[in-house]
Amino acid sequence: MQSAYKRKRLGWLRSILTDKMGVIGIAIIVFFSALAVLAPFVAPVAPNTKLAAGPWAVPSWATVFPEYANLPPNTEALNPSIGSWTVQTIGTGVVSKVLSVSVPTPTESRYGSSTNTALEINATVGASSFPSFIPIVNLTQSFSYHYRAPYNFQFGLTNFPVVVSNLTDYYYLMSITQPNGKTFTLTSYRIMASSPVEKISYKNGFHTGYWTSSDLSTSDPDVTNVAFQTTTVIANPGLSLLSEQGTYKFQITLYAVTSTQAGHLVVQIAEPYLFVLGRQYGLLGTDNYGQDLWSQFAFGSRISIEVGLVASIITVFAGMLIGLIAGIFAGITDEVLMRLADIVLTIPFVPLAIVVIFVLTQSPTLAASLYFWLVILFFLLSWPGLARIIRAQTLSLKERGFIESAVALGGGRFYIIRRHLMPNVMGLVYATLALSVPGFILTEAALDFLFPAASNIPTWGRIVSLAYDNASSASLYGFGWWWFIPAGLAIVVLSLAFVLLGYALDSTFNPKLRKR
Amino acid sequence: MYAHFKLYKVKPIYFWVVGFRGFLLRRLVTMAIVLIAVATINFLLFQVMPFTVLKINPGQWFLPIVNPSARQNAAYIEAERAKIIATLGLNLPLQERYFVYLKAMFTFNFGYNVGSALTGPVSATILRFAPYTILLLGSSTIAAFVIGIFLGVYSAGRRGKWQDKTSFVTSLFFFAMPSFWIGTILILLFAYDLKLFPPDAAVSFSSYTGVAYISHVLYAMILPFCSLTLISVGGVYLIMRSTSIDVTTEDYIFMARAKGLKERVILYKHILRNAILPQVTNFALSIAFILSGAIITETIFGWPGLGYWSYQAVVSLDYPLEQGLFFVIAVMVVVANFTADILYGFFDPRIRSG
Repeated sequence: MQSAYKRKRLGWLRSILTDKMGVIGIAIIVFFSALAVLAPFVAPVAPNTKLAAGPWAVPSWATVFPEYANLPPNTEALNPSIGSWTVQTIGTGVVSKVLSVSVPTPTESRYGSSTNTALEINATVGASSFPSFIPIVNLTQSFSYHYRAPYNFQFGLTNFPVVVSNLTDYYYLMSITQPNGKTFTLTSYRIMASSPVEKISYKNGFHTGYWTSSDLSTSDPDVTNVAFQTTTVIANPGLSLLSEQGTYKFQITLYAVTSTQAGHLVVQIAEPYLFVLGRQYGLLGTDNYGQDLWSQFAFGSRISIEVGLVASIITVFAGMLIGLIAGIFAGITDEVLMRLADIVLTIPFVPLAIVVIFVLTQSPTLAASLYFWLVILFFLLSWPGLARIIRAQTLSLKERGFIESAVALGGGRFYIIRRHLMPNVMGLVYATLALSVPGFILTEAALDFLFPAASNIPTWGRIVSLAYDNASSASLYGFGWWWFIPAGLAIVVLSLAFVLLGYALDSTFNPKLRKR
Repeated sequence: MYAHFKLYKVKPIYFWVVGFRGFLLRRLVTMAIVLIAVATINFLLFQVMPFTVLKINPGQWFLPIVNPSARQNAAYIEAERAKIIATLGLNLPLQERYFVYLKAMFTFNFGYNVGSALTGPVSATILRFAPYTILLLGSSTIAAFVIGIFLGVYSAGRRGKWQDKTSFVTSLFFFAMPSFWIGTILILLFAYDLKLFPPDAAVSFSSYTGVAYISHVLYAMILPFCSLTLISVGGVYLIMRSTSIDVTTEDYIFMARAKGLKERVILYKHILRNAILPQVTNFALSIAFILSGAIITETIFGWPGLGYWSYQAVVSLDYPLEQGLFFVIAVMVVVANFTADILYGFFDPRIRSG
């Protein structure tokens, strides 16, 4: 008897699994749930890591289209090992040697702990009555570049001052020579002589896109000019500097600035780099900050599924309880609950949610638990829908013969509710559970769209919102289709999956509907 | 125990009025209760919550931003202040202020704009921008219903064929599509990429007057209109298709077929007329849904209606405007629901018995 009952109870599950639409729905839901759970493992970088690749990078697979062919991926253009560089000392009194000792690695180092060589420059410079620039050493390396121009690249080196005495200061001048022979100065980076003799990385001092605009046309840069540079930001330096395919030359020149006494400079140079930020990256490309969109997408599935499911479960079970109570305890209880439902049903949700989010975000403590309050709000405004249906169902069930028989057999009130009423409304409850999820997912995404800054959690609505905010520049970067289409499509697909599951459940529990 | 389950009969509280007039009266009473409830929620949100959550006195929102020339006039400010305190009872305890607040809400006395973009009384602002919302919502809702109803009947007539399947799947897709996504796609494609339409509607027509103004408004309305129509047409279609299929199984359709009527006549004279009934109430009910969708759509396209301003009010910290707009939108929804109920009762006598 027990096993037969169990078999019957699980029959609906088998019925769903034979329904093609239901299976598709379940498969999609399982896929997105797995994505939500495994987000930290499938995401290559944290979703808020800036410049994971260049800004507006297209998805890697899009390079099969001719429009996106030969776009650069993330590329280390230079060999970081000092041994591979051509070192040319200038003038007398300069000694260079390659240290094979391990250099303490700055935490910002691109290469982590892999640094094991450094170039030590030991130079003595003469005195002069006013500061003059003395070139000390040239480091050059050639590299070939065979992609289309990137939007951006990063470059720099690690500098460890050992001895800096009687010098005004010293400079690193970095330049790049294009295959056609044109040379452009990337930066002239000034290091103060008064900097403590410590092993410091100045790597963060070098930034892509900052150089004097006049340098772009100068082939023989004058250090004194660049020393007093006014930096201008060039939006896409890669487009102008790495515009050709062929062999480039990257050159680093160390200058010392003399003082009134003969000076002495000992510095160690390690891991110079030129990192081309890709214009193709990952599964879904990047946004305008170069943040990985696939990571955002994977983490974004969490909020949608969590809010959708939790809100729906709370709402549906509260609605069921209220409906049952109203149906069973008729009279004044019923009247009060149903009039309350009437009132709640007429409150417009989105305007209210906007007001509530607005008030919540005014207080940092409340804003931290924004999604919790959203779920509460969803519950407070959505229970009447199911409560009305369950009440009607209960009222109809009460008139049926089997309840009458159960009452006649002396079944207690709670026994009848548990054993006869509940199982008969559960089908409706499960179907509503699935069918109410899309509404919550869509509304939550819409609120994220309106208030992308309300929380820092990546969500699908927020992804589309940020894409919309950058709409005016999107046309410069190939429309940004990889940015706003996947997230919006995911919302539609996940919502439809729940609708399909709901329909499948509905037709299982209400066989009358099957003919539709 | 048995009595509890069996001898129960639904007893309407308002059993003393019967018929359509009684039904109307009951609904009116319910609507009045709902309106007071909405005003109470407004009171809690805008008058009580600011004290407890934000620790600010909402009374300041009702003080007008006087124009610069009048600002020097201390007597004028004092007079205004006294007038507002008297009208809104800002010096009264909360429980007394509640009733003063109710009176202020139902006389549409919402205070003055405090945001930088707008000045003057909130009620004037709402009156100024409501026509934009009414124009956009009215036209797109009508379009969605016309398209949805005809497509639904057509689909039911072609049930199982590819026309039905295509329109069913497409509608389901649009039904599940978030309004902000449709808006983003339309604006990116047609405003930024193809540059056919202005990306910011309000900016595009604000400098015109007369006929040029009207033509620019209508031109800027195309994108938000399409966006709203697309999001609403799916729901209408799905209901229409399902009711039409239900009607198809009725005896009188069988009879019509037996008479040898043309399929087209059966579809548009018999099925359409009978399946359209739920759409009448659906039309009024959808106002609430579309108003919510309008906030997002109007914001995306910069269409200066009530939805756009209710978002702008939040962004620019314009509490009085937000309070007024929320109340007005809620009242619109309540009235729409009331109309839906009445229409349903009017068309379907079974509902009236309550």
